[in-house]
Amino acid sequence: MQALREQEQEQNGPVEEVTLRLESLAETRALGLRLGPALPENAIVLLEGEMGSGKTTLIKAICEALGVNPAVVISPTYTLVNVYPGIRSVFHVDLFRLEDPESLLELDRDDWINPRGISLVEWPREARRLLAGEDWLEIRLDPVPDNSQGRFIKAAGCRRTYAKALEAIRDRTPEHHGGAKA
Amino acid sequence: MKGWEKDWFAPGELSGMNALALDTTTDRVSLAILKDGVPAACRHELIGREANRSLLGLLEELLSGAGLDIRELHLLVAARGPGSFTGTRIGLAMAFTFARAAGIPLAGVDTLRLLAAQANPVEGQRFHSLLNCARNEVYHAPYVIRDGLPHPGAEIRLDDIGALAQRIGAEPVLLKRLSGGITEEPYAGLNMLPARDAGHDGLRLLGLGLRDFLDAPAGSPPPAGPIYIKSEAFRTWRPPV
Amino acid sequence: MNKASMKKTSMNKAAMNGPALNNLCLAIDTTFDDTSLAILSGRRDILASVTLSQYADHAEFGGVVPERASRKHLEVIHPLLDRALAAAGEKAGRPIALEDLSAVAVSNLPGLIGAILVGMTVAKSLAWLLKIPLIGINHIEAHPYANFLVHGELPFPLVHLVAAGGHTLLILQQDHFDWEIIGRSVDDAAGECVDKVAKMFGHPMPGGPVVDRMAMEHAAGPYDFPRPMLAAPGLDFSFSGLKTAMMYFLRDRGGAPPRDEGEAGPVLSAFFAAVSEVLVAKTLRAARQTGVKNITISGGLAASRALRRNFEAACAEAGLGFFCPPPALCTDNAAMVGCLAAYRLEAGLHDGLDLEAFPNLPF
Repeated sequence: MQALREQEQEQNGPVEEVTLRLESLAETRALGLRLGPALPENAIVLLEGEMGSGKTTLIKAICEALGVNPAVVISPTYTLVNVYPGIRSVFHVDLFRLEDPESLLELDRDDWINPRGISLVEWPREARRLLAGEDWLEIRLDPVPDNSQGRFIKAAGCRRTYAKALEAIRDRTPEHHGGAKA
Repeated sequence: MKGWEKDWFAPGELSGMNALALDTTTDRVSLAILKDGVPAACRHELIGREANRSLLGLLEELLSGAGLDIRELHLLVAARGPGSFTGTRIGLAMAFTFARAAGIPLAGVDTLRLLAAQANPVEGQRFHSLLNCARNEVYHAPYVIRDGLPHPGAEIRLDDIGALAQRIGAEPVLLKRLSGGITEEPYAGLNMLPARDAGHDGLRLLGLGLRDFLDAPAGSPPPAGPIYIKSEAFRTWRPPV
Repeated sequence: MNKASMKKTSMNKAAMNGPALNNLCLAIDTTFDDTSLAILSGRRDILASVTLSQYADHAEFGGVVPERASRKHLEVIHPLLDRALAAAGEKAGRPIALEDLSAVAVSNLPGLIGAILVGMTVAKSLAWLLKIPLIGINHIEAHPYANFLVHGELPFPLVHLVAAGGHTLLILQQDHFDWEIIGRSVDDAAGECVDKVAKMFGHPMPGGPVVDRMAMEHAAGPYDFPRPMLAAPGLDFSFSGLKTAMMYFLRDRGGAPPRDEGEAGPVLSAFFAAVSEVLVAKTLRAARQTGVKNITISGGLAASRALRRNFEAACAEAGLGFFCPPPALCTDNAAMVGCLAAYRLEAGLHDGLDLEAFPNLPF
């Protein structure tokens, strides 16, 4: 997991990691539904995972749990940033198409990191330098060799900010899900 | 406005001249108008990203208050950054459009030099203009006051505030932060010059632009393109493999 | 102080050069990567339509290289405005100046706010200075107007397939300004799926043209790519699964895509047949469900010859009217913005100088 974390994150305090194995798309969705309400107000979530790894499924579920109509949660590959109004505002960012990471430097932070809500960032690799000093939760989705619908989930974030979110990722009991929603 | 720049609007020299100064490069909008060689109006408002909606209304109010039509202007002065990217683009998009559509010369002034004009140091003393827009990085450049104008001692750079604070040491500093206080480290350790009233930024911009424009060779006004600075740290950074 | 006298005389060339053309509207679009401007006379007389990406040279654009100019709207918009005015003057047979404009239109949604604001500030500044109406335009609503530009008045109601940039939408339009989204891609847009698959085969973005060429020049190979959501009821699309299917297809063959066109062509042709089949079937289903007799397509993917061919055949068979714009008006352009603006202006629908920019379509 060390490779997942950037050392600049250490300034935000001890980092906690969670790993788990999901067996189906339904479980990926359930993870998103648990995680959404457990995210802190200005959470920045970086999502790593290859094409088809289920990032969109996870993001849709997070958004749905935050009161966003999941039908409007679409790929921001072309738009760079989709903005969804919900119970909480969500920025959905996709840096896949970013031809030149320096072009993000010519955007204000407020243009792509939600100043008043949650930011979900896909393909964040090129943007890591720009996130220096930020406090983010990182989620990685990896394929499971013996189940095409299965995913290994690795999540890491500093405990100070993301304890509740990490707890929600780890705890897949229905009670937790219900509790987080209430 | 009293200070070392009082000579900028010397009576007589500018007589007959009308000009407009516009700065939207930070979270505040500064506007000022020169009418018949005399500063006639000045505004300084916290509108930040709302500039898109309210700027033209503010400008119209100011111009009509001064009894001027935009087409009666002889010079536009615009702050060109570095600063907020969106803010810089709004201000310059407007200034370029007025310049193009009404055939008015446009003079650009960089935002750090405008900030430097808030200082009140003795002639010849070196100080640093620092602007923090995002993250832990600051735009900065050293300035000296000579012949009543702030002169840059080096190119504008963008650097990490921690490293910069060490390098600057006890040299005097003029600091503006778009968010966050100045009491936290490493900002608190800087030898801060007292800044004069930012409410007069519009007039300072007007003055700097006028001086630069009048000192420039005819037909080549001071450049007004946007200034975007990238930090060395970013330019040499590569994503993790 | 003699510099005070250097102010240029106001450019009132219009007054000197005979009667003004009627209802000249400048349209500006900076919602996406490209900077586009157009000057229209009335609803559909395009006097100029320019986009930065059409220029190979970049000397006039302050050193900005067009192909790497994404979102450099501020740096290029005024040189492009000069080009548009010059082109319009050439077409009109007399100089066209800003003072000849009777309205200015600008796309104020959807897109990146920082990008939209450049076009919008230019539009507002012109509207204010020239004392002419400002018209805010929804870029997505404008796409089908590429059809009105070339085909004239179309019979409402219409079903539009808009396959542009990040959107794949089915729109039911009852009249001008009266429309609703009745179907949409719930994940990736169709064009995005095509681009990403083209990238898997080593083709740079945009991948549409090369995939279209493969679809035109090669028969579809015996590959069974999924037709996502084709069997599902409703009018929504999904293209994410098709993209993933291609990824697994290539992985099963050892990872590397076929380099040889003879091998890659039939694969891409079969892939595009899946994309096309879904788009055609859902659009026709929308027409059937709403009882609409005429459909249009627009947006970048509508430039695909293979897609147009399939739509033409399907519409002929179903007895539906079919309209599509020429390729140059499929990709982002400001002429379509100007066309919709002309209708809005005629209807008295214009906006104040406090017009806002929005990142999204209204839901």
